[in-house]
Amino acid sequence: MLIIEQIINGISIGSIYAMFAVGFGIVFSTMQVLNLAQGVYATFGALFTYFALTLIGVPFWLAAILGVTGAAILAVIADQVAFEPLRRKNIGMLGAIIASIGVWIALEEVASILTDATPIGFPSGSIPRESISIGGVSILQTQVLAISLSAIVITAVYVLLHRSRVGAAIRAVGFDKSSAMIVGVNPRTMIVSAALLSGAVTGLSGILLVGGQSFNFTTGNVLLLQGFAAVVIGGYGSVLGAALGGVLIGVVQTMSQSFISSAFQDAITFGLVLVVLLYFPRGLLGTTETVRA
Amino acid sequence: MKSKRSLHSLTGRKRSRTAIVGLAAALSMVLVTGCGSTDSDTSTAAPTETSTTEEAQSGRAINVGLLAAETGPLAGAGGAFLSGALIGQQLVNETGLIGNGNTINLVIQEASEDPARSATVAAQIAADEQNVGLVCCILSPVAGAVSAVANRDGLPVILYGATQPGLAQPPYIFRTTTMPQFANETLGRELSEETGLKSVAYIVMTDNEGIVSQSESFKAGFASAGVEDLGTVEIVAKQTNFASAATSAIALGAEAISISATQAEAVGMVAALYDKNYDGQIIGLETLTGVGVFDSNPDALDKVPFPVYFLPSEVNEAGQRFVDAYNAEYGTLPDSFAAQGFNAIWVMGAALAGAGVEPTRASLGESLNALTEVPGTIYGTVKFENGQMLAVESVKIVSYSKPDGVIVPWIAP
Amino acid sequence: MNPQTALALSALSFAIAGSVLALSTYIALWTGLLSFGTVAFAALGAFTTTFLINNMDLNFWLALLVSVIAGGIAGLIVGKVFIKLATHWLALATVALVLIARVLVVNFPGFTGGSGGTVVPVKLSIWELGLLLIFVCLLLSRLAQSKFGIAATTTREDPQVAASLGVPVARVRVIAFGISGALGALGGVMLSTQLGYIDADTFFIALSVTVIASVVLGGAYHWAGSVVGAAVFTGLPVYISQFMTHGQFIINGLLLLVIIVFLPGGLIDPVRWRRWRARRAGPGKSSQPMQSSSTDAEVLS
Repeated sequence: MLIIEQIINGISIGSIYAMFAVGFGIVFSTMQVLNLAQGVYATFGALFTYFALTLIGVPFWLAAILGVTGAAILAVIADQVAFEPLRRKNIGMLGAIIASIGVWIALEEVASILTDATPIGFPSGSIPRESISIGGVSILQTQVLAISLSAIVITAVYVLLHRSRVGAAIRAVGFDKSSAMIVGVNPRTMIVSAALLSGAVTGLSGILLVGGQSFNFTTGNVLLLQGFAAVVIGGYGSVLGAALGGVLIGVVQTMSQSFISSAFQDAITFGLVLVVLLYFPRGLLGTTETVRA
Repeated sequence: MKSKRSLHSLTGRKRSRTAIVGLAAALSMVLVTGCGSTDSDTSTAAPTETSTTEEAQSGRAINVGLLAAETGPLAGAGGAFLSGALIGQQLVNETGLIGNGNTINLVIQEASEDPARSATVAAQIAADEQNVGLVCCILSPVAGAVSAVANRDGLPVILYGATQPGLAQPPYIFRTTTMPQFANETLGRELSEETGLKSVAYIVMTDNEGIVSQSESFKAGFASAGVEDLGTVEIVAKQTNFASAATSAIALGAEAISISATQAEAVGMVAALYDKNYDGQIIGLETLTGVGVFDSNPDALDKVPFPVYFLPSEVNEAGQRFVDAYNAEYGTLPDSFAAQGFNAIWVMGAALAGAGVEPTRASLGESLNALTEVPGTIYGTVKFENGQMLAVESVKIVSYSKPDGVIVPWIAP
Repeated sequence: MNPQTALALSALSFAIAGSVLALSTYIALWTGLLSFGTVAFAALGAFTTTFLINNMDLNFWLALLVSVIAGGIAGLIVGKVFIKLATHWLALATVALVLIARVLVVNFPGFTGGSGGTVVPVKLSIWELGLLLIFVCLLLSRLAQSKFGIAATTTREDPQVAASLGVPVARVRVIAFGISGALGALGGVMLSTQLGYIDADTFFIALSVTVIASVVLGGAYHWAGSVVGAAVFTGLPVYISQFMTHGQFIINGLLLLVIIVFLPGGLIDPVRWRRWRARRAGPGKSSQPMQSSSTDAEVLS
């Protein structure tokens, strides 16, 4: 039963990677923004939840909502302060990467000051942490929460982006801003919506990552690496692809750690990334990419 | 004419805006450079009594550099080391430890535990002939970088936090870090004897050499008490999936699981084992100490044993004096990081006492090299061997206790 | 020595090493490729040199030569393999390379000292560092005027047009990667001599971020930009940290934002200067800039 328990462990952490990847992918594949500050949004999602739990004392579900909202607003602020001026001047990806690094460094220091650089964790009893035993396999309630919430949220994002007017508008703006404007889409609103959505989703992934653990102001950064790997493997431009990529990475990591060696787990993950990039450029479920002449 | 002017004003404004930004940047750099010189010679916020004690009036203030880490990823621990060091400065001067009316004056520079910045700042400290020594270094690569500078410039250095084996290198590099390896071995042996433990499994963070050597010392300790080693589960520094490692470790079926990892990962492992309802004995290590650690996961950490060299509730006279002074200044009890910060300054003071009436780098170096033993520290009498301090008298097995996380001697269940 | 002088010398030494690393990234960017791979080549160079000195008693300069050649070969291989990737995928592939490199460094302790790191027994003086930098700058200014330089600039501007003009785009890019590898190795060795001690985390994400920032902020359109950018982005934080402890990273982050918004072409931006001169000459003498500095060419926008 060891294998089954490990597979569940893998799917659980994979769901969290998947959620982060989806959030990251919303701005990366739809808006072509490589936002390196996304990991800090995850940290702040957990941080705002922590403050809601300890300073206001609301139940966990409400604190999580506040945390997600906080992360979303943070993402919008960062977008408007750092990326909007660049967009207005038509500065390309290179400049945007630098801007995102600036945001990353600054926000991480803010998180460090807010937490006094010490570890923090959700208070006892705020989040269900029991383990459930089914036929010799032990599953944690936090894992059930992670898997189910991720599935729901990712499906919701997919539906939003691919089956709703708002989603179509967001994707239109990402594809070609001027054409979108011609058909009456307000690019500013769509960009802000995309930032809001991506901030919310990555914030939630941060909350699920740390549920039951202690965390600190650097915790979100590990998600950034896994998230970008998931987006690459899963396919550019595809929400479901990014999600699948995340789960795959979670499972592969877990399997390699338990049965091969944990020392090489990063090499395996990023070796996979290279293989996919070189031989399966569209990833698992990617859309074809057009390069404008 | 009109169009020319308007075009000019448009571009002129843009051009001057860019020029202003550039000028502002240049000016601020110049200002910062100019201001920097005044800050670097004095210690900040130091609770010293140099001007009021009688002995001080007849001696000199001896400058010793200290690399602080109040920002950056080690800021939590760095703050504790600094707080302890400042109390060290205070008590060394109050008790006149150095003798000849001399007092110690810490020249504190922020280096964020970054190797490049630390090397630069250490070079700066070494360049000032007034500085006779340097205290620093929580991370081993930082210790390595600073050691290179110190060896080149003949500046004696006391390392107070880095734990990788082999860092102490006389004639210039000394270390007062209370080495966890000895404590771990002691815990392995004593805990097994007390509880009659038969088997143990290990969780080890394998990409950190200091941690790996800590795990070897645990293994040696348990082995010496006849406990069977049922296997090791490996984790890495950026571990996210603690549940998976917990599953693997529990599957080894041992009566106890000994964890060797840095702070965040160690807490993560303890929490995962707790959540998975592991019914054996979870054994921790010194990296579990630190401000905020208990509060971040109180249920899991409660009653998990780990070894320390310093426990505020069970101290000798010197320790009590330290605890009282620290509490008076900061309103909390010191942890083992603060204790190491304090002790480094105390040992520096003791070495300066043996460096003559007007200590120089050379005489301080000789004094440090000649040290074999320092009595009256917060760890009791400590020995020095090849530049490394050994605090053999003071290992205790402790654990956190609910509800406030006070560290108390561990009681076997 | 005056402490302020020591501080300046040390900051300058790190800035020079940083310049070479930045130039390694710049070379690839010259042909339109964003590569984060410099730090992986730097690791290769630094660990090779250190290994050769510590374990084989090789003379430093000889070891340096071997490392630079090894870096060049590695660069050529990586270039050849990655060349078929479109530009922003190539960037991600180079990120993956850096991450894999770290795992390799940790897991081959016989060669690299593993996670415990290894001591670098050589220190280069400021003159030696300066000479190496001057040598690299001379190389680059010669390249700028050579066929390679023109081919590179044309390729960056628009690879399709360049190809139609007969520029061997793929070959130019692979060569650029080779030079990038060699320079990366050189920069890595230079940095390691200033640190005195290197481990797996020395050549990782933090350094990568500094290098990219140096190139872009210094000016991604001229090789001198990388040198200036490294000077500012390596030296400035040292001075800022003299002045304030808490909040210094906030300042660094905000500085990045301010510079990229107001001077998007970086500090050294020949196109911006050309535009200024053109405007100062009056609207009659128009000169439409050949390339706009505020937009990155092709897929980099």
